[in-house]
Amino acid sequence: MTAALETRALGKRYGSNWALHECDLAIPEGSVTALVGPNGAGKTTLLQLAVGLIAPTTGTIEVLGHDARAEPLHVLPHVGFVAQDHPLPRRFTIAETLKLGRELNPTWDDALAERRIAELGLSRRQRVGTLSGGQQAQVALTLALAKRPKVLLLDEPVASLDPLARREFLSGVLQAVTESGITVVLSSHIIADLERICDHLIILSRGRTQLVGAIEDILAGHRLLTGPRTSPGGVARVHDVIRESHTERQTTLLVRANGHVYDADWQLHEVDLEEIVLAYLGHDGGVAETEPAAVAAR
Amino acid sequence: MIWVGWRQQRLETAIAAGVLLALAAVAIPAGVHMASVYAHEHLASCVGNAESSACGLATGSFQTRFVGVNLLFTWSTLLPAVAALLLAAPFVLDLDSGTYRLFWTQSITRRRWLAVKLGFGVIALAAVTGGLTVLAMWARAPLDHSGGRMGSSAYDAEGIVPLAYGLFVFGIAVALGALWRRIVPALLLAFVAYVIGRAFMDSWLRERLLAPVKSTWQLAGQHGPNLDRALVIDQFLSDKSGTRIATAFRPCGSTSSGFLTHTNAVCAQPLARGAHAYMTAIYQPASRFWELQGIEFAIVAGIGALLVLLAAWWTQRRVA
Amino acid sequence: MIEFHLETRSGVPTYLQLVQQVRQAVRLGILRPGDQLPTVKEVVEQLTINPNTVLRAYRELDLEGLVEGRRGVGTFVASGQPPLPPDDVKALRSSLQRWIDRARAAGLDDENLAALFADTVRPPTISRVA
Repeated sequence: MTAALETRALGKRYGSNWALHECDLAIPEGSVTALVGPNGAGKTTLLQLAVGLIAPTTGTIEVLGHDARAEPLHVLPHVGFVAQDHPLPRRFTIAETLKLGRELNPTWDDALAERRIAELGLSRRQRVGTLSGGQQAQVALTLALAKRPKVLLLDEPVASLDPLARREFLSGVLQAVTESGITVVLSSHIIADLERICDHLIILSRGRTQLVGAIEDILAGHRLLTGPRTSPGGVARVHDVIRESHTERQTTLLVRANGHVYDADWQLHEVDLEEIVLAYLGHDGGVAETEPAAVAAR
Repeated sequence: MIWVGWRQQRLETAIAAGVLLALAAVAIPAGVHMASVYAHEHLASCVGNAESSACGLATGSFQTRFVGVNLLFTWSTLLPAVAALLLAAPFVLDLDSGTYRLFWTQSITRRRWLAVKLGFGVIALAAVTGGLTVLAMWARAPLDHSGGRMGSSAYDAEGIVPLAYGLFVFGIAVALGALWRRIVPALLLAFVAYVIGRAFMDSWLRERLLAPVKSTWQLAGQHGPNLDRALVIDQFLSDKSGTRIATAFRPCGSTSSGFLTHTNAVCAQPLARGAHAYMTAIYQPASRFWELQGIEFAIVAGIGALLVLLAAWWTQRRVA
Repeated sequence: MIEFHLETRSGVPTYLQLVQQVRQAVRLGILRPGDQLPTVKEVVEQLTINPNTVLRAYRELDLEGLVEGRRGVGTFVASGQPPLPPDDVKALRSSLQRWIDRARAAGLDDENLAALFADTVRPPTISRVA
């Protein structure tokens, strides 16, 4: 499996603050990867580094095997990028916006762009400034998809959209994945819906990767244990304890299991993705830091 | 990118061109009328004819009669600055609104985007300021012929200086825009910088760009140099060596600009005490028009060009 | 043709929900041999889910022999589905019953039984994450 996006010891510093630090990850081709984390976790930084909008302070980042800063024309034609708040020239009509895409991209697929605009029920004469937020996001996505990219990078694409517009936007992305098998990386601080949309997950917090992997493996690999109050010592020797909480009588552990976890002392529960993500975001975690995270090899 | 650059800038270019056309719509009929009056009254033959006070009066009254045209061109010297602000706006707006992230992630290099955006701005600016220069030099011809073109309403609207100020303001606006990425404060501050810069140049630096000429002549009997068309920096009663005579005396007919013209000097003559009174003038002769313009252009346009390059460099390297 | 639906709160992986719904439909006779399953594109559009998930479900069904993919045409229910022989179910149930009795005797309550069963059927497959 080749990597669509790969970083090595990637870091970006603003002043004395590391927006991204010691980041090692590989995103497999054809995957739909969610980049989750709170605001300021480094999601936007990672995506902007990928497309060369900013330069790394340390390490390297490659998209399809090329560095976007050094060789922009080896990367940009193959990458669709929708920035946060999907900026578009407001004075342009939709037809002019499509012309913009045609002028600036050698691989432009005009038929695809026109078809999407028609499917969205938009008129070519409408000005971008008069469209709703959801429609603007769709136009920005059209611009990105009609490049016929191999990789689609979306920075908080649905954060400002209402639930219906969110669903329609994601549906557009998934159709492109179905038809062209493109790799998608989308950042989000909304965890709901990600499980059905994405197959891989990267959890970022305070500029560091906390967890990287296929969602299926992540779900299968985590369990919630509840039992009488005790120290997690025995469990922690075998499994990684991501979060522990205690009441007077009871102890609850969220563990990353290494093998079978059944133990008559503990009640065993499956956990959903949202709970796992929240546990990692609250986790001061040495896990991902002691051993570099890598995408599951299958 | 060519089409995109033009599409993003055409409104601003149209507004700047519209202002120029509005100016032309007033200036062309006025210029035609003025030229016919000038020819009809044979004023051309008066120029440099210091002997005839009738000529002096006729020239003076011609200048007074068309003071409105003069005023129009005084205001027109704002056009390069206004056009520069308008044409810098599309560049700064892309940075302000975040649309630069859209352009820089299409299949073009940042360098190309910069070249087109800034290049188109400069080209349109050169066209508008060039238009102003041509219009001013044509319409003002009679005024310039009789009164010279060293005064602000001519000097700042003719030759290559309008383009220089255009570039100056454009440079400030795009540099501030690149650093700040806020369109309104960037353009406002650029305009303030323009007003300060031009006031400094008009009132102080321009007369010092070249060492001025100093000329002393005897009031009784001698005629001094013809200062009608010159940029007179100072003129005063003096002794033979040109040293100022401290006196409460003020010559009659002092013009509002504070400069004595040749005609005023004639008027002052009877008041002067005897044949030992001398007059000294410090001035830039009219013949230095292009030389002064060249130096001023080099300074002002040079600053503007450096600022444009700074904006480009900063955007290329630092902006994300 | 069947229409899929998702229970987001069930905790069952999405691909497995699709697999179970096809199995159920075949068992109930809603889908008969030769019937076409919705295309990946249709499922993606209808449910807004990752196409890889749908592909994964169809691949799993294909491996089971329940459906067969015809390149460029679609996915169809395979012919000659052997229904689960009732005798087998009986035998399995009785051996499971014996196992449960032993577990109860060992002191496991129902919840523990279920947990142990689930942990054995789908063990946490880790180590591949990070």
